[in-house]
Amino acid sequence: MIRNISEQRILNVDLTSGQTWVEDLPREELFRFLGGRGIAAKILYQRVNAGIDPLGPENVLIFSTGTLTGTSAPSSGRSSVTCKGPATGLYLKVSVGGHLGAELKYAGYDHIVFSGASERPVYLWIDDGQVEIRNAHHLWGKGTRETDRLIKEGVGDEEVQTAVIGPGGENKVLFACIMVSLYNSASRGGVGAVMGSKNLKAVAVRGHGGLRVAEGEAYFDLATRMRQELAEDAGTESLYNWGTSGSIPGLNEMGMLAAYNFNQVTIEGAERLSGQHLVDEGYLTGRESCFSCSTACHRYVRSKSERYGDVNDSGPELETVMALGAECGIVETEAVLKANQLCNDYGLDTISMGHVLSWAMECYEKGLLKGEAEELDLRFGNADAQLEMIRRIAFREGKLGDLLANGTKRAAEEVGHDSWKWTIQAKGLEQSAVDTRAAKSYALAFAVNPRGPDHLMTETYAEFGFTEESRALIRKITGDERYANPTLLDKRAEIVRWHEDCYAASEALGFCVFTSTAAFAVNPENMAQLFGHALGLEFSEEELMLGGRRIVTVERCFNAREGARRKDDHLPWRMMNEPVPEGPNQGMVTDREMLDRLLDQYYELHGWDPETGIPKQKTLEALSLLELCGDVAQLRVGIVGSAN
Amino acid sequence: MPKVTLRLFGFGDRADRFREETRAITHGATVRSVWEELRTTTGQEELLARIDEGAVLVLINGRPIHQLEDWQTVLDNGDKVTILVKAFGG
Ligand code: SF4
Repeated sequence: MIRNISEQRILNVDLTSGQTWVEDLPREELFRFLGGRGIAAKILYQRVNAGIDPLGPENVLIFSTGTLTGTSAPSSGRSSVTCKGPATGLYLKVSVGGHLGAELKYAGYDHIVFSGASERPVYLWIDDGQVEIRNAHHLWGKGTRETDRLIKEGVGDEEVQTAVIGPGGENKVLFACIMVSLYNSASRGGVGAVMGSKNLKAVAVRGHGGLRVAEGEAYFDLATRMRQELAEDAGTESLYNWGTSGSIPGLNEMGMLAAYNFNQVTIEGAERLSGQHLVDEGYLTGRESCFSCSTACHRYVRSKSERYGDVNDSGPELETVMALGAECGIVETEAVLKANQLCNDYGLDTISMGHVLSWAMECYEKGLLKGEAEELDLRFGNADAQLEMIRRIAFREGKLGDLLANGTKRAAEEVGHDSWKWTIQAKGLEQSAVDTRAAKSYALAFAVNPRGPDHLMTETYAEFGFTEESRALIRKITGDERYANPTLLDKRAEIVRWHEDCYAASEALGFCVFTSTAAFAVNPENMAQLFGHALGLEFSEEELMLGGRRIVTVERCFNAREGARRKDDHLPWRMMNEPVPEGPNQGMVTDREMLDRLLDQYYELHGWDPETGIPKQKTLEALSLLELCGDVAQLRVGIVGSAN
Repeated sequence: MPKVTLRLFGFGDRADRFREETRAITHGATVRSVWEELRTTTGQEELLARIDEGAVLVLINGRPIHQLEDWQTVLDNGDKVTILVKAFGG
């Protein structure tokens, strides 16, 4: 079947009743919410009532493709998974690459909305127009790799694309992830636990259809030009050469490499965690791209070591080597490759896992964890203990494994004393390893991030001004490139809001944010034009960014309805109270006063109430969101409890 | 004579991926003058000549030079000058 891109189809799957049905998305909804992440936010808002248990059958799990996913637009193959998150009790969206999104498009669907919960383990099999909920007893308990292999064997087709949970998701680890197209992790916030709570082991898709854009020639010409520009971009060249972990040497030199649970910002031997080292020492066996991307930032690696065994797997990303490596005081390459492999196979988010373990190591070294921690000698740098704990957490084995499977916020509530101060989390989500003490746009972006403090909703990389292009972007946003300085407080709200809008729009269309906010060929102007050519209408950059803002506002409203308020927009305690201990940023911190100043600017810019952080009625009106989110404008402080 | 520590990342091949050296500089030497000198004296002139300045990140004592006086930043005795090929990712 060849479909027009503007005719979006939603596949609904009620796992309680076993029924499936398809609805068409009204065309005007696509213009308003742009697609992917935007449509998912709207569906989540409409279908999930405030206060429900994220791991109960009332939650939904939405797989969404970008509007342009499946076309020749460069790096447009991303999809997203959206639900109410179990780690935070708030809005959760994760973006993921691979080839699943395009395959789903070719099968005839743009979104899948899972509701309810199955009584027994199942997986969803989509073969073009045929949709079947299948028994997954033989897959339950298996790792993600084996599950993918067994599904492909079972349907007799190697080209099938899958989204799979491992034991982490089955055991509802609050930072379980979903592995997509075998090697791509839809991480953060426990999206895999939601899938596990529905007894949904996997989604497997095969599609043979195609997509039609309205203005084919213009679309193809622009997509080709953007592809060429991307190929010439220095940023994408470095991503190809070294992957995301190519940044390790620079971060270490700048004193921005989070180590030892953020007690240090450099680590001896950091280069062994770098993408350059993987190339130089022969660990790298291949490079891989997501659908329709020529950047190929993903790695395949192989290592053999007597101590850690064989690894033949996807390579670790920057955040992974920081979290599982430096944060835990580990710089042995083979150990980190092994830890990454285990997390991928068990279906666990490497960022949260690294922070959970580094927090546990700090607690152990400070005498707050005994018993199993003592037996394992869970100190910083002990890779054997780390690997063993990853396994125990995946299966919630033992008291400690079960405790840590709930993430640092809940674990600290059990451990008590000052241990909560060492949790690198806010809203219940472990922070990415960016040092928000020394980068103020990141600090603001992380504090207001609806899913908790991380870089994958709004990465304000341009504030560092490392390249001519990023300085030009800061000039465009603020009027002066001198604001390309991460230590300044002024203009951070403008920088964050621009990136929020751009991220949301990119992800709604299916673009990879690496290419839209770090390399600049996929810029809002180009994205808007492509969207217009695809749908056959004039569409401006301003309309695109407004669509992005509409998405951000719906996500904010969802959280407000769950009870989140201004006081929930904060950073981990250590980021706000313990100054950077060493290096060029020594002494810096983003304290409460600074954060309040940033929040005041940011709320005002958005048209959100400064006391509560809730979007004002007139803001919702201006974004044509009153019909959808009008209930939120009525909320007053104190009516609903805090999410934190 | 003032001296600076040069830390070079990502320019050479495997054996020369990271190199640190102490280099004497003249009074008033700038980042640019050291970079130019480097391009003609390292034995890797050809390689360095191919590298576009825009692809290079220079840090002085961990601070990016665009937050200082850029390529015209004057170096002091004891400065640590890091030169990397830019990389990004998350
Ligand atoms: S830049 Fe990397 S993560 Fe982004 S679409 Fe391309 S291959 Fe995937």
